[in-house]
Amino acid sequence: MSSPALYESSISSLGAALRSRQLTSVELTSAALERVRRYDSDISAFITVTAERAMADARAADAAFDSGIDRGPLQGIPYGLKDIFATAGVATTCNSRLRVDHVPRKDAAIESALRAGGAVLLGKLNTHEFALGGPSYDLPFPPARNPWNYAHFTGGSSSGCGAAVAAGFLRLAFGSDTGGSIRSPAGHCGVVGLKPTYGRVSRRGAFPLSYSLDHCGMLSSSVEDAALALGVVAGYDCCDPSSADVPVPDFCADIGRDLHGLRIGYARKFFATLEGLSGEVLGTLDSAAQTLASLGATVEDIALPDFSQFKACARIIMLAEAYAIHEADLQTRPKDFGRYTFQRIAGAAALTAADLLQAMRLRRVLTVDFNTRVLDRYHAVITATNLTPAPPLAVFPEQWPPPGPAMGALTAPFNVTGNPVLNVPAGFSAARLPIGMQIVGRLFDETQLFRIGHAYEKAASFSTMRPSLDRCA
Amino acid sequence: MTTPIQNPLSEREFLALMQLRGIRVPASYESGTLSVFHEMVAMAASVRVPLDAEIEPASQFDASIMLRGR
Repeated sequence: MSSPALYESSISSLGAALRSRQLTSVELTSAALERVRRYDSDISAFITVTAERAMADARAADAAFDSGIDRGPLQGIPYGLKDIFATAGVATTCNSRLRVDHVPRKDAAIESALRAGGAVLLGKLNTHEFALGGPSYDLPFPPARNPWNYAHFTGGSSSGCGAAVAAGFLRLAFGSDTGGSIRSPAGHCGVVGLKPTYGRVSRRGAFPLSYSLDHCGMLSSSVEDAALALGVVAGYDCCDPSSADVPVPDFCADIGRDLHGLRIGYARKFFATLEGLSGEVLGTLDSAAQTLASLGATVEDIALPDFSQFKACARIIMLAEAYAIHEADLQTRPKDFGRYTFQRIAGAAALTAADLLQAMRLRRVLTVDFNTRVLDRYHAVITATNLTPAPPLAVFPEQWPPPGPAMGALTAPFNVTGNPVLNVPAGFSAARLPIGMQIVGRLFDETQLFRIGHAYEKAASFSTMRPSLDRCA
Repeated sequence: MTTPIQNPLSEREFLALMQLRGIRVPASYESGTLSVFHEMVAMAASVRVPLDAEIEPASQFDASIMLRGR
């Protein structure tokens, strides 16, 4: 296999080449590191490149292949981790002055699963501070830049994950999603992003933002890549109280099936009237709904509960839980937080216990309503991921909030309900910036999401488009 | 339903409240912190749902915790 083909080949194709020894993991990893060295000074996707560790992992994967040992679909495949996941012996900074020198002694659950699966850690990826407070320039590491246009935002907070996958540094990056932090950068960077069902993937060792809204998942170059990766990191973990003891199916089982017999709800009204919505986003989603119908699905316009209720519920719970996590540092080291992080969390000191309990009661009502009234009737729901294409980084002011539509406006509702959501690239703006579509599934039915996402991906072909980094530089 | 708060705190009152909670807001962070606070107060007032305390258990301490410990 030639180097240019490496980041364009699917994980299953790379795996076949590795297993037949037409390609070694050392070759694959060396090519990835070379691409990072060449382009990441402009993109800042990485906080730490673990080159020595990567080459050691690659040699170990090759030795295993040579010995006939096969640890699964990610053996020998490079990946990246958002820099909130603990990595034993490798700095885990959360892009915060409060933790810039922190070197964990233990791996996060996701990292343990990837190590056991023989994958190759290429490095730790950029994040907004504590998965919340960016993009800003008063943090230890500058914001990641969108590979489609370096002057634009990547989305966040898994900003480095989106940038790294879009730039072709990696086909697979693991992030966290509390209000859209996987789906927002996936949408803005034109890659696939999965927020699995709450409880599907252990969060042990991922620095928390909000105990009951945090989800761990992945960004990838294709739907099939995400399905393979989920199979490696999914599973019950008794050390994560949110972990669900449910079977882990073959997530690729329905990939390749057509969409006949599926009912898909198009939650158009959910976002079509929101302030700040781009007409390009609405047009793209309308077109995507038609594509899904042309593939055999029955697509119908549906209504969801009041958007503002989801937003308020998510915000109050997130702020209360984040404040509880950071209270001591907010009191003793306020200036060590970046400006945005402090501004977004500190006011929660004034929330009352009743505010939180009421939000949690509302959460139960919204979750039951969505999963019974809507998803009893439909196999999945589609809606936009972001209200606009990626804005320029220059629009973010010194003081929060930035102008324009709220970040996470369309994604946070499904952190409230816990449903699995897949972002797939659905088109481009006139300025050549990606636009994403969310596909929301039934609880623990990621397999169906991959079926729908893969069929759409094949029909629409947006996932195969990549930015030209040389032209962009 | 609770009546939404119409007159959130002034900046001075807000900073005093924060101090009660042990937080000194750095001067350069004040305006953004206050605007987020005002938005948060409005949202908190909007998340009230009718409560039927007699029939709604509404406990966040889930019985699955007991099952897990068996």
